[in-house]
Formats: sequence, structure tokens, C-alpha cells
Amino acid sequence: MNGGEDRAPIARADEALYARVEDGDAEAFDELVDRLHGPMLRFARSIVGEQGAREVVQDTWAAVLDGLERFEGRSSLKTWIYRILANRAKTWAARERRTLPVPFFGEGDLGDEPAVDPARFSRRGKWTTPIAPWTARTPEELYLDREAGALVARELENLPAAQRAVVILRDVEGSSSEEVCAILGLSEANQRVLLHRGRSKLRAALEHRLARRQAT
Amino acid sequence: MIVTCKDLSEAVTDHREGRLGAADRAGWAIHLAWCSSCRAYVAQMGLVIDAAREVPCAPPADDDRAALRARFAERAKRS
Repeated sequence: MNGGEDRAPIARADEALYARVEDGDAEAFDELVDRLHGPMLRFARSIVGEQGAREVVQDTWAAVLDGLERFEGRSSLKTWIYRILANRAKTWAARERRTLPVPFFGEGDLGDEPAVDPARFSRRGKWTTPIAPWTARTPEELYLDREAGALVARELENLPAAQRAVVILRDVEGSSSEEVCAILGLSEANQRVLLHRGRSKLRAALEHRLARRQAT
Repeated sequence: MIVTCKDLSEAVTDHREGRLGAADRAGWAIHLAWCSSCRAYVAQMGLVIDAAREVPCAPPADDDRAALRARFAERAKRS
């Protein structure tokens, strides 16, 4: 469970860092860049693709530096910056006359896509093939080889953009559901649907990879 | 009410987020008590989330760092 219990220490560290950056402390800004630039690029890529990501992130940093005094500490620094980023992505898409292929900011609905391939279930709703536990060896293999993260990273690329964005924010980066809703302009329910679909697809992809591996 | 494997597979995230009502929570527990496939499924969804935490992120490219430092210095000069 993330969020609740450790909110106070994180908020205080955030406040301190923000104060130093606002004061003109270059090292503090370096720290912020180190922490956020990579994740910002990854998040931007998830919503506008490779081409727009660099521009959107550059615009975001410019806006952050211009608007630094306006940060009120009502959200975390990161959430505030990511909201700016999401808005910049929206602007970029409008300028490039593209529709963001994502149902953010209340635009577009999620559709009825099932999270799990319906063919996996009998008419009575039972798994047609039993789910085999990923054997005790396999998770070990994954973690010992440090492959778990790499596997998910690869499969994330195959998710639809909206699901990828939510999974990145929630599961990869550990943001709370409130933060994700604030960043992407999603209702709690829609955020959960996207998260569910994304995780379900990742599980199916990992299952497929593991099955192939165990067969060899 | 959660009865079938399909029902449960749809409820996994709701359950984890604490969004199931009492009846659904009961159905969830009952179903998992007898269905080893769904127990495996739930465990695997957890493993996916664990694995997601391990997704690496590239550090900022040197060019980007330099450009951002310069921008920051500009701002300091202006104020």
C-alpha cells in the first residue's frame, strides 16, 4: 500500500527542495531534473509518442521555471509538474492537429473493451484452461536476472496509450489514484478501468512469454 | 455478486483498490477458496505490479541536463 503513511516525510522533503529551487539553488534544480526528467520523457512518450515527447517536456520545464512562484504546495511538486506536462501535451496535440488518442480531460469515453480475452472463459464464466501458477522457479529467475522490470518495460510499449499512461503513473512511478486523476483529468472510475485493462494485458503478455520460455 | 472466474478476473483491480462492496468481497473470498486458477491469477496480477516497480528509467542525457542548467541560470539572472 503506497500513499497515506509516508505522505508527511515526502511532502516535507518536497517543500525543502522547492524552496531551494525557488531560491535559485542550481544544485537543487539539478536534483529535480535528475529525478523527474527521465520519467517525464517516458510519460510524455506514452501520450504523444516519441516525436512530440521532447518538445512537450522542454515546454514543460520552461513553464515550470516561469511559473515556479505559483506552486502552492497543494499537491506534490511532481503532480504539479506532471499536470503542466499533460496540459502541454494537449496543446501540442492541438497544434499538430492530432487528437490525443486518449480519453483524458473528460474527452472521449473508454468503450467496452474486455480486460481479459473472452475466449479464455467458458459460457459459464470458468477459465477454459486452468491458470498455472508461475512456478516458484520462474519469479526467482525473473528477479535474479533483474528481468522482471525489463519484461514489463517491453510489454508496456504494446499497451494502448491511455492504459500505458495510467500504468506508468500508478504502478511504475507509484503515484496515488488521486494524483493520476488530477494529472490526466480522469474520473476515479475511468482511471481504475484503464489501470485494470493495462494490468490485465500485461499479465497476459507475461504469461505468454513465460509459457514460451518454459517450453524451451 | 462475484460468482464465476470471469467475474473475479474483472474485479481484481477493484478489490485491490478497496472498491468492492461487502457482498462482492464475500463472493471473492468464497470463489478463491475453491478455485486454484483464480488464486494463481490474483497472485500473478500482484507479480505484474511488483515487476512494474522495477521498470528502469534512463537518466537525463548530458545535453538535456546542460540545456536545463542554462535555462535555470537564465531565470536566476532575470530575477
